[in-house]
Amino acid sequence: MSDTSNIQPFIKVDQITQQFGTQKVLNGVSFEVFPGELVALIGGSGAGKSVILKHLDGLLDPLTGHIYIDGQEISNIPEKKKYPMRKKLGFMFQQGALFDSMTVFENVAFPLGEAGITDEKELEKRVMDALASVGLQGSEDKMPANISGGMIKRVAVARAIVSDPQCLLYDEPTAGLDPIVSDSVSYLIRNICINQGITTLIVTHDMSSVIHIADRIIYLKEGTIHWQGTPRDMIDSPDPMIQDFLHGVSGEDWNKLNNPKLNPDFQQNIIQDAINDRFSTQTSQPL
Amino acid sequence: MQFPLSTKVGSISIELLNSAGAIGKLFYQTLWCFFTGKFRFRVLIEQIARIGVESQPVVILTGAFTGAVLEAQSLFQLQIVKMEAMGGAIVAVGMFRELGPAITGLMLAGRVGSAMAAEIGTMKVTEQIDALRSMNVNPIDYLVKPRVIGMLVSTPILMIESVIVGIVAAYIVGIFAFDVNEAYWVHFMTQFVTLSDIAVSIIKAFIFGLIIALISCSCGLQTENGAVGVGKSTMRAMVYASVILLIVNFIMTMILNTLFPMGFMQ
Ligand SMILES: Nc1ncnc2c1ncn2[C@@H]1O[C@H](COP(=O)(O)OP(=O)(O)O)[C@@H](O)[C@H]1O
Ligand SMILES: [Mg+2]
Repeated sequence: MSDTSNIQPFIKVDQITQQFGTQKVLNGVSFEVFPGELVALIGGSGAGKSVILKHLDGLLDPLTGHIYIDGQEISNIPEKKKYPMRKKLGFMFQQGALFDSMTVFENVAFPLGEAGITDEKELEKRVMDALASVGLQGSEDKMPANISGGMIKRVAVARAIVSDPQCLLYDEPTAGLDPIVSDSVSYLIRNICINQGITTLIVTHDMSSVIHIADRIIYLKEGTIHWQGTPRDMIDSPDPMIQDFLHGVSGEDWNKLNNPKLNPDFQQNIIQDAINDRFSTQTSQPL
Repeated sequence: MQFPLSTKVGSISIELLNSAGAIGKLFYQTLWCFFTGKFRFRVLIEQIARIGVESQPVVILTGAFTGAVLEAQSLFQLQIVKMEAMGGAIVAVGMFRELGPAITGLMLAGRVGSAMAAEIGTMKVTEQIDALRSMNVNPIDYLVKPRVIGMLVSTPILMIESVIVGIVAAYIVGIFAFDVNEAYWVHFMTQFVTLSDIAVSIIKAFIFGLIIALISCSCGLQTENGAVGVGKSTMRAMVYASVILLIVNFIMTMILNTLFPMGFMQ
């Protein structure tokens, strides 16, 4: 990261701690995400990944430590003072969190309406553009209860990007999807990041997706950042914990399809394919 | 040594105090939103429609049968002293002051309160409340305020409807089933019902509407632990709202009877 040393990070997390009851979830977490980067935050289930994302959006305040979005602190300030920072962020929740009383169109239009855009034409155009960019033209009148899991995630992405944020936070965008839909969502995220220059932080334990799309990986374990580096560094890392995580031996809750215990060869193949896909043209070294 | 019962009473008391604190805080926050929040006409209309229009059948039915049974029971007694013509007065005053507000309140606590708690609770556990906040929308302003206004608008109207339907049912029972003299029945009924009774009725309806909305929303917003939690909040909203409503009803009856004495006491 030497080339980024004089660039201001878009997200700066400085020694945050969090505790629920007696359970210490975060024990001094620090990391940075630079403008335009696509960073993956990985870690076992229950490691506190979702909790970190909620802190970044100001939905939770850390007990100690600080969080800066585009240079301004968002932690431990009154709700209304968080508004300007939140406008720069788009959040895709783990289960989509679509409003089930609204159609797909109304869901995507909601943040625009709340931001004060009343011009019907502009509203419709922006919603349709957002839906088109996630490949969901023609579904605008469906209700969230009547669409598939993959579509819900894509609507959630559309709702997150419709207000033109500078940075997107994704919570497990590919969890619970079949491998093909999962790949299409991963590439969608990568494309949005590159085409629109949006800084992206994705929380996941879908390692095949991470190897494919991430610029940098941050590994959260026991409430601290245990390791960070590029996908290349990760593949080459001698750290047994990293290798275990990469190859799924102790990745606790892969969805059933990816469960290494049920189907270890399949799991290995997905990761190996991902590694080959991404690096075979860049390296002659056998993996 | 352990005192299981006293421990239990203690923990229930703490829970009740916590809930009371949460409800009080929510009331304050909602009030604050009246001045600083955003006015969303469509959301409000939707709530009024859901609470007011969709609750009509249950409120009308319960009102009618309450009026009918009260008339019949009164007449069984009044027949003995040959004062059947007073049946209408008893039903009308009783319905306005006590039964109309209480029955309507209990029905709304069951029908509307539980639905509010379940809906908001589901939104909480599926992160929709977090999603609102991430879009810079205040969940209290967006969810609680329109429900409180919806209840404040709908409850008095529903309650008056229930009372009127109850009186009509009593009229039918009295005149047709018990063959009471219609002119006397109507005469005493209109004589005994005063503006005070109607005032008591409407004041109670406002307060009950507010209580139901605040308790249900508060239970909904505190939901945790997925579907099980939603079930718990729904049950809690209904029980708390019903019990508190009956307690407040008693207190209000005592206070309002000094402010608005019954017709014959004047
Ligand atoms: N609001 C909360 N109250 C209490 N405990 C919580 C809350 N949110 C998360 N936790 C706990 O914090 C831990 C980390 O949760 P989470 O960030 O959701 O994990 P994950 O890394 O799988 O996303 C879990 O043990 C969870 O039970
Ligand atoms: Mg999570």
